[in-house]
Amino acid sequence: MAVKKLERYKMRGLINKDKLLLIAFLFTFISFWFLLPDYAINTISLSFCNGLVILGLLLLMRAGLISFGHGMYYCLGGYAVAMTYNFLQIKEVFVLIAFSVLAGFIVSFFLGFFVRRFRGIFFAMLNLALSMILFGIIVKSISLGSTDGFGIKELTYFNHAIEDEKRLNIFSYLLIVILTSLMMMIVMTFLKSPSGKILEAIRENEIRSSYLGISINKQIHKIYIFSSTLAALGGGLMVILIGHITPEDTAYWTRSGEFVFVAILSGSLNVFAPLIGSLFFEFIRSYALFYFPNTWQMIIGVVLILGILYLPEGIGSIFNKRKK
Amino acid sequence: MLLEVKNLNKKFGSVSAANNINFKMNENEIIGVIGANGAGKTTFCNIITGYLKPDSGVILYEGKNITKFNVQEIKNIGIHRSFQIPQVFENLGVLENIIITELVAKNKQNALFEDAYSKKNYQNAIKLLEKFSFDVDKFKDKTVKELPQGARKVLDILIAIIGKPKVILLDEPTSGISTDEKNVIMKNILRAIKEFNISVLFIEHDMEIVEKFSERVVAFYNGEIIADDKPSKVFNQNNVKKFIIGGL
Amino acid sequence: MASIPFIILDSLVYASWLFMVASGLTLIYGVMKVLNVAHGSLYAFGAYANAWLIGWYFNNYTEFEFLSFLFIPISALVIGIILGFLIEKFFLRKIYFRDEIVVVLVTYGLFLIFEDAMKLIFGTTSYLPYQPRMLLGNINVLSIPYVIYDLAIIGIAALIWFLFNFIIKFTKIGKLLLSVINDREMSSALGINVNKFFIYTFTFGCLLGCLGGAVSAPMISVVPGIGVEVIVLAFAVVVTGGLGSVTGAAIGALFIGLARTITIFYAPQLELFIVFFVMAIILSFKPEGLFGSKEVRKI
Repeated sequence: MAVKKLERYKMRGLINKDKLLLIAFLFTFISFWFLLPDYAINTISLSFCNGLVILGLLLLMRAGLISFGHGMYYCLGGYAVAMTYNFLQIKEVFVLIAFSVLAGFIVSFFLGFFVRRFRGIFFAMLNLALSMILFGIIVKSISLGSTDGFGIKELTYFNHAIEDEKRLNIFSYLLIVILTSLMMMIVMTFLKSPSGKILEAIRENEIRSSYLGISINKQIHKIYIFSSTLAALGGGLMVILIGHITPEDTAYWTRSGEFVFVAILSGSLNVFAPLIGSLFFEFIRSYALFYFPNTWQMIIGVVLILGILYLPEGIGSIFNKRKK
Repeated sequence: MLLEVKNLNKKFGSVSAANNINFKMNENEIIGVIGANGAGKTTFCNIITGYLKPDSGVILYEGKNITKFNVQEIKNIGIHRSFQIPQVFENLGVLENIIITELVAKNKQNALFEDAYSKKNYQNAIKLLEKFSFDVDKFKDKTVKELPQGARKVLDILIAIIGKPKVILLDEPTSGISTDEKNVIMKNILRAIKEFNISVLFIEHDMEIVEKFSERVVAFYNGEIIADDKPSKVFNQNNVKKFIIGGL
Repeated sequence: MASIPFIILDSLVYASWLFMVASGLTLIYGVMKVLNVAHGSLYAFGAYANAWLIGWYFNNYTEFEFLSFLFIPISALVIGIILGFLIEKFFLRKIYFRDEIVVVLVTYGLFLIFEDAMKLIFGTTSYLPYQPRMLLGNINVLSIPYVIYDLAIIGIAALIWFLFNFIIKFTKIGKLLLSVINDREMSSALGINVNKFFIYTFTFGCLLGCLGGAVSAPMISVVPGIGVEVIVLAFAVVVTGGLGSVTGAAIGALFIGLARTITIFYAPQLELFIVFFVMAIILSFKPEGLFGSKEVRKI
């Protein structure tokens, strides 16, 4: 209750507060480059790449949808970068990023015609199925690197070449932090606009929404494209940061499961939550994978269930329509 | 002729919910629809608004065939409706419900570069609620699910009025509302509707309300229209007395 | 085109397998409106249990080889009943009134837990419990040698389908079940113990999932990750047939089975793709699936 009230007050008067907060967020993370050790910077960068996918899931959640296969677009974005690099010999980072965004946009545009007709569990599971198809195709295609995936080497930033060993450098870090902040800004503006509010109307009551004259399938298609393109951008940035991509780390269901997990725990109230959630998750994971390599999925599952069962107002409340 | 329905049929399995219905509606008419539960009143509303497709028959609006239109298209040509069970945005505030409706009515559902919940929009919403004698001060900071049933009903009807339709279908506007409130609510709604020159068709079980507020009454029985005339005449018709008024 | 009978036979076997693993999923959804993602784990659990038992038996004994067939029903019954009962009682019962997607998230959480639990219990190396399948040998179908064990799956699937229809049409339990499916609240008001029906249905559905795994174990290599493949395939089948319809699942399995077998013959790399392609085509024309009913909300 309290949270909802707070959200309403925020929306009424203090419009610019979020934008100020975002600028503070950006400069804090830029300053971290000079303050924190390399491994921390690396984790931050990676968590922002993944955070973009979760930001995409937040958009879907605003419309009452969740996808169990968003890793598919993460994978697509990543492969777009790796393939453009290897097949077209393009080394310019900004061109590569443009390709990843384009890949996410085009694929989600066409698949959107199919998935937009479905809601709830159908939507969630169809996306899982789609991502498993992509996984299956990549694994079986030798020309796509099969299970080994692709690697990329030396990159250029505005024709300024950076050697392969220095993959994490001030350029890539700034690129990730600034692009992430920019996307947060766009999503923030979008969520406040009439376009964004329509999503909440659709989530709350589809019948009334269509009786208001909203074409629901088109709105869902739009948000699906928006969300998927963000995920593809995240995947593209991830490849630029890590320099390697495999289908197992991106399109396989376990990765999508982690995205859903962070998205559900972060909630959909504001655009900072996905990024902060992703940041926590990535730091915890870097330890957990070291100490509990075999029970990592189990830990995620337990936390997810406990959250839904015992914090119903917090986590599950995003989808609090009762049955029937 | 504003709205005309010709030879409309609709079956659910073996139950006939609309059996050869013929119906005409002129501009600025206020029509009451009566009939026992399951007589086909709501189905009639659902078919006109495109929520259900008829098995056969034609619906004309200002002479144009709208039988195949979907819910959005019907809304866009100016036929709105309210619901038996209020269809509102439960977890949003009362004002937010109004604002979203107004935004869509102004065809801004794809607008990106403005603030949906701006001060101006809030003020407009409050003004609108006041105009319809909605108890604004009491309810404006509440979410819809915290509202009493009567207020939800009124909100549902208000949402249907926004965007100034030419025809409005009210499905049991006073059900679930206490008897003393019914008259006040109907009076307020109809006054507002008159102001906009909207034609009204309302489904109602309370014969006093029907007699008081409608100029014409249509009686449904088993998916058929068995009477269509002035209230005084319909209420004195034998089969109406037997099947509907007596049956209540 | 000498291979046409072979394609048909192969499709039939694969369709039977699909139906076997999907029937429990669609049953549970039909009665309880719960899409049980953990169904894939139950399949994997059944497969692992059977594979482990078979491995243990053939490592220690060489006589009475046919006894190894008993491990199929044993592992299905034991694992299915225990897990089904525990999941329903301690997790699902608390969240029936919540949105469908929340329930899916909980079963998804269980799925994640089971995946790691199986790795801890059975290790990550693969099991190859081929012995029971070898025992039955081959038979000539239209002068093509075919593995009898695989043909038996057609029988098992037919039996499951028959059992469902018999129970629904000719027994009192079936009639009561239909009333629970149609209107949960009204059934409860009429004195039917809906909770009891739920726990029985769920346990039975889980048992079918485990049975699918146990029967499949001798035909496959049992490795981590078989659960997810199965839930994704089973989901495609039940959605194609109409979620909640057992006969729909059977027809959906036949469609998908045929398409997949043909694809394997002519373009094997498209195997997984074709399954979902068939599903997408059917859903494009009938979004509620072949035998699904369109839900028009009362307004």
